[in-house]
Amino acid sequence: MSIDDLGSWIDESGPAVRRRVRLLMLLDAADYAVISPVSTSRLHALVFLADVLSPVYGFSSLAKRIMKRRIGPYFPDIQWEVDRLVGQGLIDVSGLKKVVEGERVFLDASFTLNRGRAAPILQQLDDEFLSLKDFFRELAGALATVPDSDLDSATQADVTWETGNQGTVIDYGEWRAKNYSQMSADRIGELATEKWGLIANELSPGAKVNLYVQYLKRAANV
Amino acid sequence: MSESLAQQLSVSASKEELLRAVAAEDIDQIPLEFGDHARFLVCAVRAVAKRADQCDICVFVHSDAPRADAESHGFSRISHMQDGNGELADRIVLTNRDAYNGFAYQVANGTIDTLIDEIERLSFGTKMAVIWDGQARVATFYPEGVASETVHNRLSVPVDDGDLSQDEVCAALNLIYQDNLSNPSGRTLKLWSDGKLIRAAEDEIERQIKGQMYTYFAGQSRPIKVLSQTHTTAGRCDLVLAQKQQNGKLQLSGVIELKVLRGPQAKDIESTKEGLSQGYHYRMELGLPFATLALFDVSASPNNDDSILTKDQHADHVAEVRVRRFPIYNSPQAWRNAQAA
Repeated sequence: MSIDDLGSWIDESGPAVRRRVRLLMLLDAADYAVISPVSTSRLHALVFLADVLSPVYGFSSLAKRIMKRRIGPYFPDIQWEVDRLVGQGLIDVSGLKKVVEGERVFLDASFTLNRGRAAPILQQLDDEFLSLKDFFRELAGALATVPDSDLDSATQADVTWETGNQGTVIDYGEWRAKNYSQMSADRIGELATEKWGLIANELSPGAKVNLYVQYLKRAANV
Repeated sequence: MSESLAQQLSVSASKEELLRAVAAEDIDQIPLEFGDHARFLVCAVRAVAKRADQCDICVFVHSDAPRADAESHGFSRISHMQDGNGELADRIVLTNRDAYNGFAYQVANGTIDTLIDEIERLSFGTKMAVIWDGQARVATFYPEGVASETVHNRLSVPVDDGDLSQDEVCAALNLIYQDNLSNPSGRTLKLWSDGKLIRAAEDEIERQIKGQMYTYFAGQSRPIKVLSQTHTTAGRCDLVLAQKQQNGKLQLSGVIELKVLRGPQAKDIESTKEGLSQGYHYRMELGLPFATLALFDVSASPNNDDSILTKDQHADHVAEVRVRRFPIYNSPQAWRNAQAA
């Protein structure tokens, strides 16, 4: 893929391109936080938390809804894009293994950004999406502090995830627009402001994201 | 958040309770509000300080892609450094601004010189770096990498693990001043442009002091949070220090008010009066154990004598607020002249 091709690829519109851009930036953030290779479950957990916490940074959620599954967040359309990016050589795969969920068998793997090939795209993305990059770095950095053994329970302690019933769709932005994760992050900000008597000292989005991940860590261990 | 939303989140009382606990006890987990440079410095120093065994020497090198940079150089992964995990002694650590996970490479016969040589051999010479000298307990920060060795600042971090005190805050201010502000050739704080004091001198000083204070306490592995521009009913405090107690609660310990003295003396006395009043009222308002007023003298003839500025001030204010005056010189020559005098 030439630089020009990459440029036009980024300039394309549509949810598929936005999903790919976000995926590459998330994997870049995971790389920066030194948590890659990222397992499928961790990648989808990262995508989910990035989606529900996007409004904290003023971004729109992309998926807006998710099917609540027993094993945690999983977006089929995101996985489809991951597979395309693997095919394009922008993401490397390692650790292939099978996972059994009920009567179904899936292939699990870990993913790493192919930095050599993705660098020109990321450079272009950095210029255009600086605050999105900061958000993803903050989130991946905060999640890096969650021990691997707690990650599943921490993700499932997410307030939006908890509101849904297993086997049903959780809508956090499409029709109901009730994003409990964002509300909780904002609520922590509010409580911190109250607690410290710091009138009008609003917490930054990065601070809220970090504190929300602290909440997930605590909730995972309750 | 409107009441209705708060109520929705309170469906489970335990959830609201957890949110409250995070807001009350985990505020020290919030990353620094300022840029990646200061964040990297503080986190690198804190990673060293977290270790039970004292590390004599190590270097942290910032990388946007630690894994890719470490590849093919024999680095091995190091995780959870902020929790005290992993060997750091005699190592070059490639990591990010949070110095939490990274890749480490051991250098035989680790000295500052061999580590710097190795960094340059690995082509990391232009990457932001922090060298920790555990024997001297000094962190030296190279914002442009060790290749630009003259562009650096340093901070001494004495061992201390008691409750935060007024004496200690003054000692920290003295060290920060000695290390980075007293000698203009050695400091990186840029207060003058074309011979004129910059407009945002107060902001620059506050940013510098806050970052250095943070690093100082991080180096002692003490749970102290430095909050800036905190609004209270008595006004806006420059820096508030809060310490986490053994029961996990954060407690406000003290306030530092910062003022820049530009001269003439009558005006400086007015600035001191305002600073004393602010320090006094913040201390009373927040019920703080101490308040400190740090005066940074950038006038044509800077000096460290605060008595002339405090002698006719409100006695209560002078009694409750400790004052320190720091002369800041605008050129190496002015500094040399002052030393000679």
